[in-house]
Amino acid sequence: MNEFTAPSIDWSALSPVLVSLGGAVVVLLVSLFLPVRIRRGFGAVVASVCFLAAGAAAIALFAADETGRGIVADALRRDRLAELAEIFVMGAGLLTVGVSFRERGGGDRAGEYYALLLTAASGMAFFVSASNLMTLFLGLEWFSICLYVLTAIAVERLSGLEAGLKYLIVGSFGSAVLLFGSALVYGATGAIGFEQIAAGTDDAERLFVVAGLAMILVGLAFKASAAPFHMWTPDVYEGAPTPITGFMSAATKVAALVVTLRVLVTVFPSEAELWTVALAVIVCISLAWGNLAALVQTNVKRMLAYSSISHAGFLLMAIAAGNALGGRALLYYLIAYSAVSVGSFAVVAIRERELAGPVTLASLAGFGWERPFLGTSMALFMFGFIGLPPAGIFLGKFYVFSAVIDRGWTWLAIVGVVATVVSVYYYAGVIRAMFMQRRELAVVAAGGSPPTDRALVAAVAVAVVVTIGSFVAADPLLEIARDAVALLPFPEG
Amino acid sequence: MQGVLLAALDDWFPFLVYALFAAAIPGSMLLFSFALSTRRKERAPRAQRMPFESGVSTGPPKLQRFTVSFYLTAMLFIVFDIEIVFLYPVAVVLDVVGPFALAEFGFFIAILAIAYVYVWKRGALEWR
Repeated sequence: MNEFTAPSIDWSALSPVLVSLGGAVVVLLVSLFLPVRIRRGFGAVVASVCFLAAGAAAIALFAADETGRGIVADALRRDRLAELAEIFVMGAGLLTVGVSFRERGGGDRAGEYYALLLTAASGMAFFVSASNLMTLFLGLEWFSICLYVLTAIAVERLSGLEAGLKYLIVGSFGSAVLLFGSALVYGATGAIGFEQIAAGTDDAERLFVVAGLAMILVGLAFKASAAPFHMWTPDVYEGAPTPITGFMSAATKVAALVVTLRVLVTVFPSEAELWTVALAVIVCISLAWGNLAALVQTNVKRMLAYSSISHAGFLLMAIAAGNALGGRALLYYLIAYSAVSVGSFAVVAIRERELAGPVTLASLAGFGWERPFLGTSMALFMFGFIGLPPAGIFLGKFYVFSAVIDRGWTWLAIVGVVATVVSVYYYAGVIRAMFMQRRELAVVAAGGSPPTDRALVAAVAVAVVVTIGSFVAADPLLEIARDAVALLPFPEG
Repeated sequence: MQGVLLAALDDWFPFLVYALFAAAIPGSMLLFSFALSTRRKERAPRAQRMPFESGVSTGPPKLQRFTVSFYLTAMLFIVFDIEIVFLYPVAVVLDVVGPFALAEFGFFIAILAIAYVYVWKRGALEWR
């Protein structure tokens, strides 16, 4: 029998994953022994501390790692791309804790809720540093399963159960497609490490490599909720607890898109001509479908779900450019996009708690005058989604468009501009509903004066700061984004 | 030719023995139930003329309602059962891999223990 040598494990490099996972175990076990009324507070405190610690660990690693390195026998890769994505995920998790704090009901499940949130973030941190096909699939399943359960965690709500089941079935299908693709790529090249596959594709049977590439791309597009693989998105976003929807739309997207970028650029550099065109097609479908379907929505969560599909289009456009400028644009865009998305779902969450029912455009009437800070923030987030100047998405879109123009695809940038113009209608519709609906149409909030919710307001305030901050401090953030993608082997430039 | 056959037999002999045993067990059950049966063929009451005297009634099965606890317990059993199966491969290579395997083994058991404590405290093992 062969001699076995245990891989040396660099524990500090794994710290963002381990801290959040350890926190999850603590929350899960300790809250069982606590009285129900303090479980939520305990879970929220531990989760916040863990997200902060994991984020700080990721920042420290980002500062230290000039060059990437493989860890745990090259199954995972530490580089600035992974660490930056971990910082985004942990930040989104921290804000989600604030948004969830006053969520109604489920006090006895609070331990599970925060434990699953931490585990999901931990899985995403693992996923973004995956460096072979096995860890890729493992990470994908790890965070997906947590999200399936979180979607259905409010078991009294039928829509939540429906959403959880749909997400489970469609998500598992996506994972299975990705796994099948991985098997084909492994079969063709005999390697599972990303770099080994890239080195082996030249002598491999091209049919299997291309089929594997297509299936891996489909699996990742499911997670990024890009059309035509978006069917689950509106129902799941609508049925899931609103704080979780915010977390999914920010953190899942970060994880899925960063991994898409890494896999396509590192594993399939020889097929770059193919996947850039495939992505351009997915981008066009996502932009068209997302924007057109969002126009007719009256439920705000559903509208934001379609908006998230169209933003998946913009984000994939950055990858479709297939150059370093595109990679930079993607990461910069994700900063602003995550903040805007968590923030807007936070505002929807508080309105939902006031009304004890779904938030529609009609039931937003007068919200801007009742809650000036939250209303103004929501207006800012809507301007942000459109891509207007006080928010960082403005520059994000600008860089995405310049990346595709740099590639010579001016037509794709024009598609993006048209999609942006169409999107003005439904984003502005929210602002109109909040500020310009006539008073007599305004819905009276149920149960007297609205409850104060400092944690949620603080989370919205942080989201506002990041949204505007990413615009004001664009230069340093672009530097960071450039460092993060510096090690990826882009085919050109 | 003969050498090849012998070599194949060498490799597959344990499976041959296994297959013989696998066939012998159900075969002997059928055989002995006929050989040792004490019933008289003629004038036997109806119950005795059925293949198995004390078996399940041949009527249509009644619709039964299982308690939810049954499914929960069964699922938990499968989870822990399958996890325990993973211990076998570790046990086989323990002498090769050495203390690392033992440490991983312990860690794995610890994770199972956490899950067990969780399931227990959450009341999933109570029969309702």
